[in-house]
Amino acid sequence: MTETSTPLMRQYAAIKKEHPNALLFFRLGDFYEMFFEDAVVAARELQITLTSRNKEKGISVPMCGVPYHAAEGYIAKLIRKGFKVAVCEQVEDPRLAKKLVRREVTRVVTPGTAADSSLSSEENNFLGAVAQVGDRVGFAALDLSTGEFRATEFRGSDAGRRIEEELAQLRPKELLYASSAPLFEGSAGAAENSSAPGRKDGRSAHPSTGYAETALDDWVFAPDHAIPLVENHFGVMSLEGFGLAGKPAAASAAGAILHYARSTQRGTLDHVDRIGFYERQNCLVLDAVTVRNLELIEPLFAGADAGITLFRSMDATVTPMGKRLLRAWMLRPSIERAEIEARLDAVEAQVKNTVAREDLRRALEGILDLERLLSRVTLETANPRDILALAASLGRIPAVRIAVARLDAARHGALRV
Amino acid sequence: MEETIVSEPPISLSDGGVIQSGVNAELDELRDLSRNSKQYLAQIEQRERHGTGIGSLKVKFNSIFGYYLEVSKPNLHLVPADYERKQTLVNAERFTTPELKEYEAKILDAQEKIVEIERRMFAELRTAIAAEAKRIRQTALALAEVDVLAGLAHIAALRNYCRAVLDESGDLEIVEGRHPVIEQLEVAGGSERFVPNDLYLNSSTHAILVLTGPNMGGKSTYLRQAALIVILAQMGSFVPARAARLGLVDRVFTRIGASDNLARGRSTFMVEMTETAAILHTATARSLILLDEVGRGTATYDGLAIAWAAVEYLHARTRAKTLFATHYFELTELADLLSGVKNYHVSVKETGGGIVFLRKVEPGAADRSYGIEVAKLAGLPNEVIERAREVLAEHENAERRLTGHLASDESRPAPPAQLTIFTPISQPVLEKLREVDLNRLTPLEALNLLAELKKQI
Repeated sequence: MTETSTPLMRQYAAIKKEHPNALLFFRLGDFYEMFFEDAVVAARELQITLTSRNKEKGISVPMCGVPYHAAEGYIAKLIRKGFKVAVCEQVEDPRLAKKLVRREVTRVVTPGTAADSSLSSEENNFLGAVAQVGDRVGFAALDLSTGEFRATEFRGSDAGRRIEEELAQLRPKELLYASSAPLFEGSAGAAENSSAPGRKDGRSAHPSTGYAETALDDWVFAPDHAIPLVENHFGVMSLEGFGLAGKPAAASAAGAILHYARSTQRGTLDHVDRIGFYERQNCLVLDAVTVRNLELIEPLFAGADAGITLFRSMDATVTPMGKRLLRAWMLRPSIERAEIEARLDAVEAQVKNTVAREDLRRALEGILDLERLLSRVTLETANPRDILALAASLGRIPAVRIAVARLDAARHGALRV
Repeated sequence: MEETIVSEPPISLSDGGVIQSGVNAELDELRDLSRNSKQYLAQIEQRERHGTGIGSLKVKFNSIFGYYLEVSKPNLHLVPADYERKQTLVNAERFTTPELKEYEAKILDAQEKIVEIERRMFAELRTAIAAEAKRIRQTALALAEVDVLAGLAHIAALRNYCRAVLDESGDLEIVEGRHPVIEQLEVAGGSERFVPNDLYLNSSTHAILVLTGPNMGGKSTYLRQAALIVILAQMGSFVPARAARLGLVDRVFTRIGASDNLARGRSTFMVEMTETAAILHTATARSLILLDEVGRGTATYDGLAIAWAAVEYLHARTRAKTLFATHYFELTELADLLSGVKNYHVSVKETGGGIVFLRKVEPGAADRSYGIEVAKLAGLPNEVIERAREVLAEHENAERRLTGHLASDESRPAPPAQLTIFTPISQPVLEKLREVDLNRLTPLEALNLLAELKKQI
């Protein structure tokens, strides 16, 4: 694009510079025209004729165009193929213009922000975003065509894998991420492969997952920017009402999506009026408010007798480890039928066999806190008494084994260690 | 482990005395040495006493100077030349000799070695244990689980719990359910037996239960016991009921008015709305929602309207199973409008002296509010109670007349005289207006009437 001497082409070049990764639909009269590489790509993808414009000092500029009334269909086609399209309109009446009609990009259509009628109705068209805040990774997804908006967040070492699971489940058409944080190792490599030629022709679709990756500046994902943006959009004082309290990564991902959606669309996104925090669970979820309200482990009113908690009421364990496990089960009951039935079978077996049960509980009585003692040993803070305590506790195991052997139920079998 | 360590070891390793004898040969030797040192020193003491003629000479040890021979002042002239002075005291002097020095070195050396060997052996023991860490941990987990299961079984047998049937349906069916904690407290306290109650929730006709009736009548207990039974069942425990069939629940939400966080600078209402919003936005069709008096923290009309709309939203969109205990009698009308909403109430028996809470949950809306009776039980002065009854009767009569008029227009039977908050208080004014025949009034009369009515408002 070295010869851009006519005012028109200079105007084109300036606008194109602002949208290097999108195919620029440049409005000329009744047509949208594309030039240079955009024209080559469009002609190929849309199966339309590639012509040229010979007005440049003998250098022919590749050009192709579509009539403006048919443009939506062509745009939709390109979007489905993973391209982004910047639509540049004439923003003043040509008859009134002095020399060159003023032009501006009024919207950018991306795979993730498509909301037109060509979308298939069975599936959502999600725009996704991934944000990282500290050790948390947040993921949010918005379907601009329906207004469905949701966000979740993970922590810990398998956060990356769980994000990938979300991506596989929701299958967004486009994914936003902070440019300084390449998505995941695998896709960063793939993006690099496709990016060199990809950036040139405006396409950046991830080959294996089929979503377009869009990098945005880091600050778009910063909580200080993203969270107020979301709060303002929904007109709320805080995001607690959406379940996003204490979930900065999820909220930041949501903010990035709103930022991007706003900057590429005309219109106000009013139909996006709610967002919900969701989590894929592996247990019956009891949040802190519920744990407190139901007085599971602590009384509701400070100073009340601890005996009114469910834990105290249900605690008939005899070892410290048992108490800890009971508490853990109570705060995170299972949601898997097989697991629950297995436990119930074991309890039932013990209910039916009182003698064996009592023997078992007696055998368990002298056992101290093996877990804590053991960690003192491995951390090298154990003293001789600890070790003897450990020995004593381990010594009671044979008795326990005998008692367990007299009980049926698969769970007991598995516990015969 | 038991072979290596003595049966009553000290807590710290630094002074030795931890490892048993017979375990390590070198250690035993050194200990002997240490033990024998006592004898040896006693011998030295004897010998020196003899040799110097100082009968009161002593061989002692302290941690700063080590071993020394202590000689009292009167005897100093008897001290031989080869004694080296170590320390001077008020009444005595302390000396050492080459022999003593040598012996001292040996003993201290031995002491050090003993401690070192013990330390090393202890560390070895620790390492050996650590090598088995994984097995020990697995054992610990297994023991924990066996313990928990045994405990749960013990309680189930003791308290006559039953095994819930779990399925993937959207139903929650409990026959004669009891509140696990309260039941025990009542039994222990010796008061009347806990009154069991059935519960039936499904994802179609009984998705949302609106529970009315007086406070203290057992509404909150009923709500909580439903959640606790679900939690117990999904923990793997038996449940306090005669029978139960439960579709797996993915989340339990509670919004209970009492526990608001005023300290954080948010108003009660704000907190309540925030929590309610979070519920509406995140509940799924497999969730269980308990709402206890939602809408209480603000002006009555607003609160009622919000509660009403929230129930509609839950019914149409969320489809989670919901128990809604409320003081807004108006909400009982929802059961007529929405197919998934049903009314229940806690029943009350009226006796001559007042009311008795039967604590039984029964279908249908409560037919009276009983607020005044509850106030009486609380001890409000009789004067207040009587006057309240008068005021209530006045309003109820006005309401009856109003709805009576409407009923006669549409030939519908007059509904029961439950005063709702939709009834404006300024009934007399309306009555007056209704009676007046404007066609027969002179302008002056009309103005007078207007002034009179205005005075009444």
